[in-house]
Amino acid sequence: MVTVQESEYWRWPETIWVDESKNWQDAEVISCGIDLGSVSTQAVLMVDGELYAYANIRTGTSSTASSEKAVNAVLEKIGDMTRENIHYIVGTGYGRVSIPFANKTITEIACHGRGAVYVYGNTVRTILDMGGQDLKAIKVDSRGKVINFLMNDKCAAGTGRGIEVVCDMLSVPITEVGELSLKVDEEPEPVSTTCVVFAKSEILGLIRRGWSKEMILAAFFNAVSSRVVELLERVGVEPDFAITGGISKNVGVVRRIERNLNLKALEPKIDPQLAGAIGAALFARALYIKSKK
Amino acid sequence: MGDTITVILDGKKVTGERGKTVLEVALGNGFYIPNICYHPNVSPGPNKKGAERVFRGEYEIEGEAEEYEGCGLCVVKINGELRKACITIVEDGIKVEIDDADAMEERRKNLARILANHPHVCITCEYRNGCDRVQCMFGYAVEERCCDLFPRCELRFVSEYIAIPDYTPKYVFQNLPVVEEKMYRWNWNLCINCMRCVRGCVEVREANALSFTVVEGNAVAGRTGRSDVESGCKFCGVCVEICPTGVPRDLRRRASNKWRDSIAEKKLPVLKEVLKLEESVITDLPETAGVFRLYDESMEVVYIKGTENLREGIMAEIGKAAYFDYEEDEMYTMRESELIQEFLQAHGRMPRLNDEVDDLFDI
Repeated sequence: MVTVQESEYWRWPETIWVDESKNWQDAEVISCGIDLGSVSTQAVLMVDGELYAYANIRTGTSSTASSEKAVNAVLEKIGDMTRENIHYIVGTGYGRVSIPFANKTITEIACHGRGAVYVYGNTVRTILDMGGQDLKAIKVDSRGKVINFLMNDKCAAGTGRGIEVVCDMLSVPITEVGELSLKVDEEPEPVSTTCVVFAKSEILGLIRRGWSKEMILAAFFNAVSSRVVELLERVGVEPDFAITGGISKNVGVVRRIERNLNLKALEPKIDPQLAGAIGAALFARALYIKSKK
Repeated sequence: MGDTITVILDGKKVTGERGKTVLEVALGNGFYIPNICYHPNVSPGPNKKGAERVFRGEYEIEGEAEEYEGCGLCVVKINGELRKACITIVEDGIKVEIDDADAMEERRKNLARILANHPHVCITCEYRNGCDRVQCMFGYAVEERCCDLFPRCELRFVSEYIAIPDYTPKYVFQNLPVVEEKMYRWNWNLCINCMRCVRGCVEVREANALSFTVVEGNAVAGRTGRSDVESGCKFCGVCVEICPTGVPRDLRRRASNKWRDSIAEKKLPVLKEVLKLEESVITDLPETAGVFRLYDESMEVVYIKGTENLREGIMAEIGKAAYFDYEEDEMYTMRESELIQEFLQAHGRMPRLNDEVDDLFDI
């Protein structure tokens, strides 16, 4: 009999990072962006518009506590900085209003546009943000200003949370599912739905039929990518094309999207999951400078 | 001229120019009468004579050179009698009742007739406004789903205003021709035969490339020849501009020209009640989470914002606009994105005041 273990394979690694080569005390403007999403929270610190430190952690049950935790984690890693040293904080993401210490909130769409240009360079025109519970296709100009966007409806099908659930079902760590799904000789038909609830029962059926983990993952990611490509085609894909958000680290999904679009996604210079928070931090810097004028 | 006359519209005395129609006088005075086959750039729809045959690509449709009756949505009660507002000329002192019960029932009946042959899931689906139009969670057939004109479809606005009656027949996909021409794609499945394109073609560009024929009492629009060239099409694009439901669409980039640019945007019904952006109104609002939209004097949406506290959030906006509306929603950051998306799809740009970060890019 096949048993499906309920474990914590969905747990993706949290990261806290500081650029030791920079000294924040020399900076004129220290800005902070916090992207409080449904699944993950990022806090990014920038010194004069350059990435200095960040934390990428899981969003807990309290949005406010998660934003505190992310900022404190960064400050702790830096060591000698306190919150008073930060000149301006901008909150973004669905939980943006639950960040009590933010000076301002800006929509995640605007922040992802701006951040993607920082992460991928100013040639990027179409951004696919694949988040924990939503998908957004965003078109931007060379400055990262949003020209158009389209998002999925009130349904988390085919998003980060859906992939987490599948990882648990197959007992494969989330950091490995992408690679694993590419180890198939032949691409299987996509599962018929990306709806988490229905896909779960469909995948159980596939497990019982003796499908390998690789094949099941490939079938699921095929379904995810075809859903995303439909969304992208509606907004119109213009190169260069880039993916931000947590799923951009999943090569299984990224390669399949590229294949369906017949277009290569840009290689990120920095962790693309940070795009929203980086955009927020860049806006924070501009807002601070504007307030001083 | 000074040749004005007085008309009583819904009990209010208004003035209008002699020789104008009831519909024109009503719209000019800020009263809305539902209509679909009427368009300000062309003559009224009813009583135009058609041709003996029209073409939809290779399909030849034979009928009689009879008259088109009109959409029948502008029916109002004039001095106690049901009349079409678009062809009734105003007379001094006439009494017009727009929302008379009989007139409303007549409109609903005529709307049901139109919608029987036009996909209308986009009007009846509960999720129509928060949908990405990619997947359909209710599993409607692809042919019945929202078309790409959804954000601006005039028929949808008018239907929502009139309210679709329960007895509206189910739409059955008829697999009518979809004709790809040099410049336009004609999806005849979306056609409601309002003949606006025909009048636009005949009256605005005087190309006579479009006409209609009457088959078993129903007027059917089409080309006057088998192809665009054969019918005498001058590629002005007036048909694309004037069609309320998006039957002809540009295959290439929209080419601008004087005929096309002369086509006015139609006044659509206001579907939602808006409130005045004043302190006395706002103090009655709930202190719950939600999303609000600000409108300027000409009822254009200028700002969309989600807030944790509607009363406080809207209070802070006093002076920035003339009107507002709001909806309560726990997931207001998401709803805000949905509404901005809806606006973007319809207008191709952000609401004016939502461009608040615009000056932050070059710092």
